[in-house]
Amino acid sequence: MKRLFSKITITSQKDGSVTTLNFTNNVSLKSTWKDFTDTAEIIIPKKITKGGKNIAVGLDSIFRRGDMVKIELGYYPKLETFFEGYISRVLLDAPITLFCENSSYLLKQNTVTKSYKSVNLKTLLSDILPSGITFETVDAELGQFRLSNVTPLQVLEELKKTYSLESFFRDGVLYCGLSYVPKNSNVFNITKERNIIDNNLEWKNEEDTKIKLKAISMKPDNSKIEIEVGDVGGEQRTAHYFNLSETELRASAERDIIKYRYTGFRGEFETFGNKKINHGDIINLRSYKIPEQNGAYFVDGVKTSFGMNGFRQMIELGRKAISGTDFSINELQNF
Amino acid sequence: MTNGIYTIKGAGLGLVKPKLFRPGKGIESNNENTYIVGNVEVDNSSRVSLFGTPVYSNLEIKPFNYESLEGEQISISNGIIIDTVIFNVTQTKNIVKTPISGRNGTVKEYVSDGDFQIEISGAIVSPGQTYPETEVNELIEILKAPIAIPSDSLISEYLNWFGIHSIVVESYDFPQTEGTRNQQEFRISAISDIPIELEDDEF
Repeated sequence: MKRLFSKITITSQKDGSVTTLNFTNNVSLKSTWKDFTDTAEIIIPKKITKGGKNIAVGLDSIFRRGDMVKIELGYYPKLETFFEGYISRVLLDAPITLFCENSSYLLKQNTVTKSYKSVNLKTLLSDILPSGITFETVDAELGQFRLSNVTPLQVLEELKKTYSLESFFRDGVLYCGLSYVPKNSNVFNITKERNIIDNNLEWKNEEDTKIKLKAISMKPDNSKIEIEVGDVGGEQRTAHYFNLSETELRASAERDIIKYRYTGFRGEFETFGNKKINHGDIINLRSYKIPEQNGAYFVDGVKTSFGMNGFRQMIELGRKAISGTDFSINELQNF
Repeated sequence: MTNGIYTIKGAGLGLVKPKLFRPGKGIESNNENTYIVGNVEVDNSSRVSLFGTPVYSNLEIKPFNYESLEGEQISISNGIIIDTVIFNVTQTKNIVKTPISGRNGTVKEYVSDGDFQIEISGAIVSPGQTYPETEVNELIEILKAPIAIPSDSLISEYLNWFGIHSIVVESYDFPQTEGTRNQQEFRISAISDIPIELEDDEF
C-alpha cells in the first residue's frame, strides 16, 4: 500500500522563522510552459495554534504574502520537491487556502524603465531581471525595444506575445525561448494498463491532422515577414524566427510543421505521484493491448493534486518526441 | 462464601445466565469438567455502583466554559460523573482505492487515519424514586455546547487507551423507559478531536 507523505516548509519573510507542516487537506499544483507562472494552492485547517495562539485571528494570519514556501510530496519514505515559491495570497476562510507562485513572484516586485536602439535577448534579460536570478536563453535579436515603468514579468509576457518566446522557471533558473530543454528532460515509461488511472487521450493519424503554421520572421529593425504553410483551415500554430528571408522562412516553416503533424495521441492522462513529472519531460507511452500505439511524447503541462483524494498527476501531452534528434531514449526510468 | 465443586457437564450451559460475583472471588478450572470457586485477581476500582459492585469504566465530564456567538460566557458549572456507561469505539482509515483497467485489484493509497467514531450508551440513575433532573439537565447542557469537549474536561480511562482526549458530539438521544422513573437512558454519537499545535520547524 502506498502511504501519502508530505512536508510543507514555510519561511517567514518577516522574521525568518520556519514552520513545517507535515499535514495538509489538499495541495494542488499547476505547471506548464504555456503559462509563465507555476502555481500552488495549499489547503490547511484554520483551527491550528502556534505558541498557544491561533494561526489566523480575524484578518490576520501568521502566514503572509511573500513568505517562502517549499512543498515536498511523495509516498513514504520518499519525498520529492514539487514546488518552491512564495505565498502570493492568503484566503482566510475555514479552511485556510494559501495561494503560491514560483520564482516569477519576484518578477512582479519592481519595475524597470529602459530604452534600446537594438538589443539581444540575453542583454535585455540581464538588465531587467532582479539580481540572483540566473537564466538560459536562445540567441535572439530583438531590435528596438523600449520599456517604460513595467515589471520584468510584463516584459516576458511581451516577449511571449510578440516574439513567441516562452519563459518558465525550472529549479530557480529562468528559461526563455525554450519550450523543451533537452538537458532537463527525464524520460518516463508509462504503461497504459499499469500506470494510467484515467485518460482522455485521442489517437489521430497524420493524414487526419490539419495544421496551419503561421511563421513570422522578426527583422532587427522590428519589421516582420509573415507567411502561412500547411493546411488551409487547419488548427493554427505560430512559430517565430529571427532575421530570415522569406525563402528561408518558408523552408524553416515547412521543416517545422512536421513536428505538429504526427500520428499519435493528443490529450491528457492521470497517473499516480510515484515520481515528479515536469513539463518538458518525455513520456514513453506504452500499451500491452495495442503496442502499435507506443510512442514518446513531450509533456506540455502537469496538474498535481495531493490530499484526501490520493496523490495524482494529470499529464498533458505535447508533440511527439522524435527520438534520435534532440536526445536519445536510452536511460528509461520505470515509473 | 465457601469453596465448592460443581460438575457442569450437561448443565444446559446455553440457558445459564450471568451471575454477580463478589470482588476477590471467582471461578477457576480444576480439571476438564469441574470448576472450583477460588480467589482470583481483580482490578481495583476507586468507585462503586449503587449495588456496591466496582465501577471500572465511567465517564466524567468536568466543568468547562465556552463563548457563544453573541460573546456571552456560558459555563458548565458542575460537570457530571456517569457510572452506568458503555463505550463502543470504531476507527476508520482513509484509504483511496483506485481500480485500473488491465490490472487486478486496486491500487491503495493510505492517506490518514479517520476520526474515532464513539458510541456512548448509558443511564443516569438517581438512588431514590425521583427523576435525576439536575444531572440530566447538566448532561444536556454539555451536549449542546457547540465546541469540542476539551481534553482537560473529558475523563475516561477507556477512551484514553485509544488516545482520545477530546470529543465532538455529533448526535444524542434520550429515550424514555417504560416503568422506571429514577433512571434516564441516553446514547451519544461522537467523534474524536485532536487539536493541532504548530511549532517552529515542527517536522
